[in-house]
Amino acid sequence: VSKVFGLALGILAAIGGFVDIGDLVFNVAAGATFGYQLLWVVVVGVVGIVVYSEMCGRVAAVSGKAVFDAVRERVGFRAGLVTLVASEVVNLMTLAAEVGGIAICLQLLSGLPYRWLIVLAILGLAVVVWIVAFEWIERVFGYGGLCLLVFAVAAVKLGPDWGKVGNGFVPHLAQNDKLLYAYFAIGLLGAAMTPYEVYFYSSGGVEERWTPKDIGLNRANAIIGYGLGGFLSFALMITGGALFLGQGIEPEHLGTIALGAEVPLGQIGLLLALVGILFAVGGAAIDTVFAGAYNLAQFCGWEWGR
Amino acid sequence: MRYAAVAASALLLAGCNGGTVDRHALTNDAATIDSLACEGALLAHDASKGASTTTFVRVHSDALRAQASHLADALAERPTSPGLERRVRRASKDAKAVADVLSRLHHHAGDREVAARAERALDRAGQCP
Repeated sequence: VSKVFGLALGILAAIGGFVDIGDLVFNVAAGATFGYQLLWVVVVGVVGIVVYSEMCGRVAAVSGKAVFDAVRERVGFRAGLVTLVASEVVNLMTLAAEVGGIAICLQLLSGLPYRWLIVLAILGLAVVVWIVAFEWIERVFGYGGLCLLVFAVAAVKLGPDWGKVGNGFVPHLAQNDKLLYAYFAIGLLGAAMTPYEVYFYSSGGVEERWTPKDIGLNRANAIIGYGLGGFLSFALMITGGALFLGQGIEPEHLGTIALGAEVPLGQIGLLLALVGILFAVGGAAIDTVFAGAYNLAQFCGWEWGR
Repeated sequence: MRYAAVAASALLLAGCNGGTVDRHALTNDAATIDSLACEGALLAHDASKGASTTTFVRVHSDALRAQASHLADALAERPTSPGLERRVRRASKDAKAVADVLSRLHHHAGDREVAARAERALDRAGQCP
């Protein structure tokens, strides 16, 4: 039973970490622009994040050290400080995007003014991080984010050309718009391999007091968790390709992504999509907050933990 | 240093305004107008069938309206490459027309008849497939 609960760490990392605001927007936009041609890039991204996370989890299990503990120890203060500052800047930018995403999602659900919802989102995050037990954060956001599976149903219901979907998994270059294709390919890789996911994952391993006996659990976490995240990315891209490409729609709003579930599935699809987005983006925001605080504490040698 | 700051500010202001509209920019902006119209048509279609929520229709149509409206303003004011002015100003009117329909949808988000009319108007405006 404890191993099953242990896997929830991977699911949270997948939904809250892998599928964040960047993945949501970028995968649908890539589908709307190039159809299914960039599916192979998501596979490369998933393999990358699985390998990196599994490696960091293994280091945590064997040495009991999270990423920034090891960075400080291995590369020294100066190079470590540069890495820390860069990481924290990226974390902060990511957090800003996630908070904006939460506010937009709440607005689409409630109709309340966006600026007030930003304040509410920040306060809500602070309360959740400060008061709610980590196990509950893990469960509520991890399993709430699973509502995003509605996009898998939507993708099937939209009736994509499965032959073309299959071809999309074969690496290839675009015939035209090569620069735009490269832009999306790099963006999708970046969205799949965001650094905070790994910091959070590795710190979680230390907090769970992983030992070398947990290396199998670490591997299962990384593969199942990020694999599920990758599956959702496929669904989002297929939805974008099947619905928006033919209509010439360029998705530029979070609401457009929810529309991708509403058109084939109606109100229930819309509500599941919005709730899923809310929990996934909220989970990612919490991961980012924890990752930023952990990085700093680990680098400075302060006490850290949930 | 001062010249660099002035040059950077000028570039920034030019960027904010979108700069001169050339053939490439016009093609992109026209595609964006069609995209907004077709997305609005999808939204209006679902609203007319009761397949969406009033709140979602109200909020999302307003986001699309704001984008169409900004585009209309920009295309009405920005300088154009020689020979393109008439097409650019027509595109501005198209964007304004799309924004007006989306505004009606925003203000009558729960009205299925208004939504059905909006769908037809946006379909025509965006020449949606």
